[in-house]
Amino acid sequence: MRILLVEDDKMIGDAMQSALKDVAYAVDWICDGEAALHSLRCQQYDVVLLDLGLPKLDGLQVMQYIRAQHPALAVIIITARDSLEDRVKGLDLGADDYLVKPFDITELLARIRAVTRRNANQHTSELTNNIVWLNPATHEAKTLTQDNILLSNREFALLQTLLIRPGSIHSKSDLEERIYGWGEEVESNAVEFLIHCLRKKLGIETIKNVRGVGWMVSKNAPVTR
Amino acid sequence: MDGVEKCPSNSLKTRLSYWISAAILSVAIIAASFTFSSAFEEAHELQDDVLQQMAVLFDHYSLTLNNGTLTPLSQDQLEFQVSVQLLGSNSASNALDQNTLALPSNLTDGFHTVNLATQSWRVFVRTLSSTQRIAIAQDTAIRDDIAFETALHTLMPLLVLIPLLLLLLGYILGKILGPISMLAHEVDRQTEHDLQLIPTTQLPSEIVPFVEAINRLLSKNSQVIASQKRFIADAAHELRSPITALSLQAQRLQQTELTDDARQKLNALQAGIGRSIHLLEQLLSMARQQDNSVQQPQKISLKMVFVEVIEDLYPLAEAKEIDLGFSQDNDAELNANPVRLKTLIHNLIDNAIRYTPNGGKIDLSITKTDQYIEMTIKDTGPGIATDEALKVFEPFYRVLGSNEYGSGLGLAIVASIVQQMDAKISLAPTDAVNNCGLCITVQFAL
Repeated sequence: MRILLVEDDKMIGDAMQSALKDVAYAVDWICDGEAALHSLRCQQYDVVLLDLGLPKLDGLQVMQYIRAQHPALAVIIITARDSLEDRVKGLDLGADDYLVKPFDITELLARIRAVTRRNANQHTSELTNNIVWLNPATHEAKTLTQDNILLSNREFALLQTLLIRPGSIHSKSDLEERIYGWGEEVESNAVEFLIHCLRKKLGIETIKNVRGVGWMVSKNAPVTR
Repeated sequence: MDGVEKCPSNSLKTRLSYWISAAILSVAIIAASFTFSSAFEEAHELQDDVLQQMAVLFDHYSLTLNNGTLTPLSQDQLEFQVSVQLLGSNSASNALDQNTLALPSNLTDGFHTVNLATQSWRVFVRTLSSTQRIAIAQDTAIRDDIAFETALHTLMPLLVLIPLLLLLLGYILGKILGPISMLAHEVDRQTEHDLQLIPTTQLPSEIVPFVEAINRLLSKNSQVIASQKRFIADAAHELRSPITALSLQAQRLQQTELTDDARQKLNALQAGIGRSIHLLEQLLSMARQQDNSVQQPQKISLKMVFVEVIEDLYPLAEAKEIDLGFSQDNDAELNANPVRLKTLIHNLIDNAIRYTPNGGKIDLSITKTDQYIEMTIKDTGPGIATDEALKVFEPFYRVLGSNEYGSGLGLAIVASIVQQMDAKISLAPTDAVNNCGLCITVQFAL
């Protein structure tokens, strides 16, 4: 995986470059917009990390050039500007994702993984929050301590719902909609029962309850690739 | 403009009413006294004319008198009583006569006002062609009464019209000065976050320059405010880069092999960086909050906003083993700006998590009535003393003795949002008996 890092701040660029190299990405670090265009002409990249406040050529212009010349190239905009207009502008110009400074390296890595996965059309790849993994093809789950945990259809549907967006809370009615088809009779406490079964199989802490709101799985835990 | 209310002597309307009323009244009094006195004179002259006419009639028709007695022309009590008597000849014999006036016999022909013992008389003396002298007399009191009443009648319209004129004056002044009080309301409606120029249409031409001057001041003011806001936002954004650099470097350090001592120091360093990041985010949030070009209000579910905030903050609550959740499952729809509402709830729950000790509890609730929607956030933290309840909404105010590193901006942002949403916020202890815990209630009017 080759990454083009366009960042004019020496300290930030340096830290990002070393962090990316640590997890075995090849990184070209460029400090201004014009040099970024030049690199894009000479070299194939998988991901571009683009800072918006650049000297010589504005980040948004670089973004426009990338979309015109490399429609499939994954771009994550990294910026100190977090106003709604700035974000919308960046995404409208075709950025795949947006990261506001200051950010965690773990989050940066997770987003790089997400955009490359999207680009590789691996939407059906396994879902995970780095605590529990779910394989949609086999309906099997695994945890850090245990592999090949077979789930029932409804357990799978429920866990899949939770793992699509780790950290988001789903209400009981939300989950009932996911695990029951049209016209199926909803049994009361079915959701609680399924959660109980899943906790038994995967560990009590995998699924968390928020009183009066619903259930969730933890956000992506940091992990190195 | 409030000064006008408090100090009527400074009110243009009061002063105008006062002076114009005084002018009208003084002119009216002078006019009235002239009218009155001339009408009074007029009535007297008329009565004199009548006396003279009667004397001439006596002469003309050679009417005679019985022994020169005072003869009322009629026995009825008329207002206009006239008596006729002979003068001089029998005045001595008539002295005891009830009906004869003791007029001195040496009165010359013509008009006299004679003061007798009991009353005064207006007398007209004439020498008839029969060389008799007659005196035609009338009681001056009656004369005066009649004249007074006549004069009073002439005053009537004036006395009725003056109060009417004063009432009309008050109404006209109110009407004319109305735009000024409207203007006061216009200026009052201005808030520090939303300065708008005052429209100069439909204003009296004398006030327009004044309003234009106010408008110039307002626009200067809003430029200053805008540039200050821009400066805060720019400064905060500029700070983001060095803090990011610092934070990334510290994270890199975390990946390397360190001695326990060094790791401890690094953890302290990262906590410090975390504080700076938090302060920065709050500063930016404050700047954003005060920026008026944010989204329009829309209908949103309050519970959904709560859920979004809990999703963001759950890791913090989990780390402190705080039981965070709703006491009952209620929801309400609210017409609000989603970003602002989320910031408001985020800051309140974030504070609750910060100040609630490990293993504590945070209870959320939503209540809806016909008049308002209310949300409460109850924690089991130390609470806020009553005397500090207002100060905590000031920027950078910290409750002393709390070991929590807040930015000092969280509640200031809350106060600003509450003000902009026209909501009410109140603080109370969760446990009133032991005076601990904080229960924050925000009420949105419907």
